[in-house]
Amino acid sequence: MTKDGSPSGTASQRHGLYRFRLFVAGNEVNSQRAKETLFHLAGTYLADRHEIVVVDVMQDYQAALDSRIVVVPTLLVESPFERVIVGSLSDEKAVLDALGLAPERRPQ
Amino acid sequence: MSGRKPSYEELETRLERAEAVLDSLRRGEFDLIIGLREPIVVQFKSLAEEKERLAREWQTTFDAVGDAIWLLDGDQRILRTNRAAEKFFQRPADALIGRHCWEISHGTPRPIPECPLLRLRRSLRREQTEMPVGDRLLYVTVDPILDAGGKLTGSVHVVSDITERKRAEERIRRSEETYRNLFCNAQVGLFRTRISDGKILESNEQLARMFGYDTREEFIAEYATLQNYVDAGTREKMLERIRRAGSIEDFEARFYRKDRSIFWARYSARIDPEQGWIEGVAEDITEQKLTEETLKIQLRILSSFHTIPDEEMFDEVLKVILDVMHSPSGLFGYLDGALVVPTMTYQMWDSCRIADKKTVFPPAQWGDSSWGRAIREKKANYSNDPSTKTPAGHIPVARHINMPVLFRDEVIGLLTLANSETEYTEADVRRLEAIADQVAPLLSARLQRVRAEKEKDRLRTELAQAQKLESVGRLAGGVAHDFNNMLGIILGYGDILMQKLHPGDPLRDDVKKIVEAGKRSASLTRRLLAFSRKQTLQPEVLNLNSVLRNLEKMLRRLIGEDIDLKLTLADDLAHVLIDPGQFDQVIMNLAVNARDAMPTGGKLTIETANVAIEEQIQTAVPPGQYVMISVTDSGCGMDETVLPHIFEPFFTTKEKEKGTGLGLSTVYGIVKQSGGHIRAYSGPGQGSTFKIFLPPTHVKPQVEKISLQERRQIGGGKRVLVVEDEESMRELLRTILSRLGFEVFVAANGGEALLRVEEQGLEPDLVLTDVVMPGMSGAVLAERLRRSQPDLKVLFMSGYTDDAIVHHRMSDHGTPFIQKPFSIDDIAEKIRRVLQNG
Repeated sequence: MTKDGSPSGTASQRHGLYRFRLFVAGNEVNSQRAKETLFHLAGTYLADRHEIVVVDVMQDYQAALDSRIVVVPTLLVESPFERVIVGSLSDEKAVLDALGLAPERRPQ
Repeated sequence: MSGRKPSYEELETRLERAEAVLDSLRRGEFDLIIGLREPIVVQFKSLAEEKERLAREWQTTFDAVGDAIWLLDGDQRILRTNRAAEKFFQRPADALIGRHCWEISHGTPRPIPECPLLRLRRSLRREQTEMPVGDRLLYVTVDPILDAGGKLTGSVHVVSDITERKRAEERIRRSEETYRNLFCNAQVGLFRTRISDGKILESNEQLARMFGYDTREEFIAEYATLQNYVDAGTREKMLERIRRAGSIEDFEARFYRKDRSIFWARYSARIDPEQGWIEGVAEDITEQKLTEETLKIQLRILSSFHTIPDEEMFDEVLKVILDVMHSPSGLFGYLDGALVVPTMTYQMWDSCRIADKKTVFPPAQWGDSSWGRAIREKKANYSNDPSTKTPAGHIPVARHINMPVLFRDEVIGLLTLANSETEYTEADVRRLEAIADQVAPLLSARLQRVRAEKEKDRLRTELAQAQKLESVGRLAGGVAHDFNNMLGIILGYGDILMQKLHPGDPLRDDVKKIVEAGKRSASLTRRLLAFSRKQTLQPEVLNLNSVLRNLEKMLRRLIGEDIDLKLTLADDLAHVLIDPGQFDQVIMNLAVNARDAMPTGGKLTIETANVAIEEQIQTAVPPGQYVMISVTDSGCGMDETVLPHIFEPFFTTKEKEKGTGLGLSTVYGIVKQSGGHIRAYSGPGQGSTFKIFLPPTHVKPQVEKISLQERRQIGGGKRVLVVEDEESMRELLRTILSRLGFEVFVAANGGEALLRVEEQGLEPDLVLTDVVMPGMSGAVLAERLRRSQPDLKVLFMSGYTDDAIVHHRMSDHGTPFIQKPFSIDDIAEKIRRVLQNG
């Protein structure tokens, strides 16, 4: 398990904190792209209010089974709501939509 | 996993998620599917990318090909096209795809018969064809596309534009051909000869042709080297060198061709003593040699003309020419009327056994000689006939060339070569002609210079001669004048004595002899005076043609039957102003002179013409219009020693009794005094021509006929005043005029005459006065007398005319004048004419 972002204790208490858990398969093409896209979107839209955990299924297969992951890469949004986004996140617009971060609703 | 039944929302969420998963799966966005026991690695996306990449690579490759490529389906419709094809057919891919190939390629509604695809359908193999379209040449390749069952499903259609390649190939082919031709036609011969005797063992066609043979077989069979070196010892020299060095380079030698003409060859060869042969290459360098030699000759001739004095120049030039033409004998002459040969080879000159060796050949001596023909025809001739006829003593001429040297189409010289070792050919003639062409301008310039110098000398001599004649004339004139007066008295009193003597008186014969001797003396002095131009002329406007026609009969008598007289008279001859008696004298004297030059008969031609002299140097006659009278005989002619003296008085070539030496002097004097010029042309054996040039006149001729009747009844008691300073002459005149029936008054000078007329009131019908008298001249007297008697008739008399008299207009046309001495008849007729013409 890899931790990224702010310390979970303080971050979870903040309003609108996004917690992501991204399941990837090593450095495979789609996994790589999903990681890059997630870091990019989080950095752009959720600065200081996100927490990302990247799980490499190739090393921790059980974690995938535990989280009932079917395909990799899959992004689990754990907070502020629960959501499952599958695929390489290549359609950024759809991802932002799914995260409730679409431009029209984006905080100014 | 939860054991409870999922709610509808849950199911819906799970369905949505499943659909999203499926959707992602379709898009290939997964790397891994979580199986129950082990992960399934999915690589959808990379596969797709790979496919895409391959397609891109393929298209790029497809487009990168320079040939136009189509992918056709089974019906020959275009499925795909590359960039080159779009460009080639000048249509975008959209406009190509889906169309039948023939529509695009040929614009036809169906495949053309030559279409390789038709063949491909049968063969199912690659087919190809070349196809010209417009000005381009196309190479079309078609490859079948077969399915697994071997059935034709389509084809690959490749069009290459091979126009440039074809052109390049054509260029290469042509240059190869040129090279081959060059090689075949080169003047390079290949040979292999036997060392021992020079026999040709092997040769190529070029070498055979070089030697004038049609084929190499003929050449090898017939040719014998040893006889074909022109210059003896050349082969030995070559052998010696090649043995020493093993090879020779650029060895030059002269060879005979099959037809015995000569050519220059340059060859390089190596010797192979083991095989016993020499082999090498040879080329014909005749042209090159000729050019070299021509240049050399040109230089040598040029330097000869410019640096060597006259007498050696001809010699030097001839030497050069004989040298290059390989001829031992020859001559080089120039034309100056005659052919003059200042030089010929010493061999020719020394071996010549002709008794009277000449270097000047007038045209009359050219005969039918071949060199004479060359000059006359302005054309070279040559002969290799050893039996050529030559005069006795002439060196034998086995063969020769005669070449006229032409300058501006005039023959100015002659080059003759003889007795070369080999026969002369057309080629030799052409070479000599080229040399003659080079010599011509130089020779012309040289001759002109020499002629100009000669002419200058001649004019100088002529001037000296004229001056000499002038002084002799003055002397003779002076003596003759005084002598003339004495004769007048002798003759006058002789006449009177004769008239006084009884017809039967025995003294009459003696007196007659005195008078006759006096008359002959008078005629002699008259001629002397004529020469010294001191006789008074009575010029009239004459047509010399009629004068000559009147004279013709008498001339025939004069010259005799052996001489043929011919008059060639110009139709429109201009008139001249000349004393007719004197002109008769001129013609008679010339005729007599001609007769004496033709003791055995001949031809005398008298010709008249209007001529214009343009350049003084030709005739020593000042430029202008003239009436020319030429008198030509076919007699013995005169040489250079006689010609300059012929006009001198008392110069004669005739025997003592026959000539006075005054004939031509008289002619000279008369012509000069009449304002004309006379020139004599002659040469030994060429006859003589005298040309008289008289200035034409535009005065109208007047016809005067003098009656010879009643001469002795002229006086009729008329008064005549005689003015004469010499007493005896005065008395003679008084006697004569009295006898003619005049009443005679005399005066010794002008003053006395004036006294008689103006003081004593004498009114003479005629005044007869001497021109030159002490004190008042005859002319001044006449002028004084005419103040009171304007119509007074005056007759002048004088022993001579000189400049003073000319100034008194005595020789004016029509001034009454009588030359002393005169006979009674002379004075009677003159006075009668003066009185009549009042």
